[in-house]
Amino acid sequence: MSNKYRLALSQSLMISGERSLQKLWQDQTNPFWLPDDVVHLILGYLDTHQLEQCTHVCRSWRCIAQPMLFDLVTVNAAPAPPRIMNFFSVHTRRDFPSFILANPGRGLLFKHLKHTTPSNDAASLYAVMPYCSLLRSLTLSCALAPPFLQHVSLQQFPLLRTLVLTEISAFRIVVDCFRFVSADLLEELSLSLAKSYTERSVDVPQRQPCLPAIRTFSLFNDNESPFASFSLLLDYLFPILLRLRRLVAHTIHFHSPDIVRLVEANEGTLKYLDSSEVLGPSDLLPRLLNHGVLQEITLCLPVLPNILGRYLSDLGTMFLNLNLDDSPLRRISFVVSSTYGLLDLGQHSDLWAQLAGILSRAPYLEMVTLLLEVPPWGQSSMFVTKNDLSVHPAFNVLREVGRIEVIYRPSPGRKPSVILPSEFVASL
Amino acid sequence: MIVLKTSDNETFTVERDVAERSVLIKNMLDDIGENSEQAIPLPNVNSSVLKKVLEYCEHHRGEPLPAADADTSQDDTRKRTTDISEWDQKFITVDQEMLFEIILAANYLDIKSLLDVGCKTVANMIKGKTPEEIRKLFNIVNDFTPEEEAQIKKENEWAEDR
Repeated sequence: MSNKYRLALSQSLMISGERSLQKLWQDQTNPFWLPDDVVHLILGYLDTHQLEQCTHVCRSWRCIAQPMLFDLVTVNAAPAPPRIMNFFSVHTRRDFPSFILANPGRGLLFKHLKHTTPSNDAASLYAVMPYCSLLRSLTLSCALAPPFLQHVSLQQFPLLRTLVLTEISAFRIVVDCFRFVSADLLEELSLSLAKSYTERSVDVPQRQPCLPAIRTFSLFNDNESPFASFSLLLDYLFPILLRLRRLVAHTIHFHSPDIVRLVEANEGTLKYLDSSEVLGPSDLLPRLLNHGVLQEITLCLPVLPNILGRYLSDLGTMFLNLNLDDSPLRRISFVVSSTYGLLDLGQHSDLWAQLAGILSRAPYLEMVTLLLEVPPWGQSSMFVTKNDLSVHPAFNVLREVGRIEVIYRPSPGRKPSVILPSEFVASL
Repeated sequence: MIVLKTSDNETFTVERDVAERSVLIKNMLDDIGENSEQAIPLPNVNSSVLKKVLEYCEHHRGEPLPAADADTSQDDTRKRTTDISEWDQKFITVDQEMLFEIILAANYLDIKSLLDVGCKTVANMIKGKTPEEIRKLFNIVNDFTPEEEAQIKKENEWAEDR
């Protein structure tokens, strides 16, 4: 009998013993006789408000629910600025340092810390950071980041895996940040560029960033200027971005050769890809799928109807030539422009149906998602709505196997300006 | 074919790939070796629950098992939806006692996808309920003192709401 078997057996006996005991003592102990790790799993599906309710149920639930509730703290000294379309309410946590000093044990509950608006008293925060030694992720607005990272060594957070820098106004500031950062265990890096982002070649440093190979990289660029570029930034980071498993790259303009280059450099390791690039169905896309690693992909579709038609047809041909039988691809999403006309959908009906047919037969595929961009100027009867896509007969084959969903997604430039670690973004 | 023996001494004969949806059974089979005729004892699962569990395994046979090296960073925090596929939804529409039995069996047999379906279902039951309603639903006794209640309220102020 192997150890694994023995362990499983003893665990199971323990659980069953516990259970009968609890059944016996019904009304006296907690008769919700699921093991704690299962209750933990269940509560993991609840949002913050529901979790809060669960802390009030009984002592044993409180022990499980409360630490989950304290995942995230926002340190924000200025009054919350009014934001439109902001999914996260911004809280004033002026007194965070004094709270931690009064309750030092509470610091251990915080898993994610977000420090966004300039604080008059940043130094008092540096002093209490060592109490939050179990942090998983750190979000800093870029103006605060260089002094913060200079004073607070990331080495004191052994569980820190994620660093998020928001509102990056200049390449120079990123260089300043990484001059101080040394975090061997960092796995995820997320950067969001401000609308006014600029970069100058004189700011390119000699030294490359002192970071380990990043597994998850996200880049958000809301800069609308057609001359805006983030080439220097990606060039600078390139050496640590060569073993990516997850890549999210959202820019307002599609077609950024820098992002295509990043995808190409990681085509053998990427498990998850979501970029605003329209990936060619004749070269890059089949190569990505052929590596047999990719599990989830979000494909941006061309906006112009006739180009979209050709693209859908090319996609169909590509999938027919690819053998999806062994592909680990589990989820595929299509980003549908908010200006996709109803008439165009009618014209593309056969192409969609062909694609749906192929995807409905892929054995490991779990879900096809149509991400319909929310129109920035409100609904119009000319363009497709969620409802149109939800009932359209072209997707019937997928509907029959329960493999299609239609979801609204904010259009680029309308995303919440506060960027959180990927797990939070995913929950939107 | 594999023979499984339940806590109430009933035996079930199933095909190997169906039984191997359970990581526990898969590991046991790997240990015992190919040609054993022995029935596998499942002292924690009774026949009515095992029947249900096998129905699930049969329906989902051939689907890929979750990779053992699944990115732990993704499992870490709350991010998952509680959507359940239509077949699973129908499957899990059972009384509360059976639901918990299935969850326990899935936990014991290590069938992650079934455990997820069960947990999502319970989470959906909790949604939108007050603490008192939750206690009623699960027959839980409120063991807090009024001081503790106040303390929790105070502490929770520190939690981020979204």
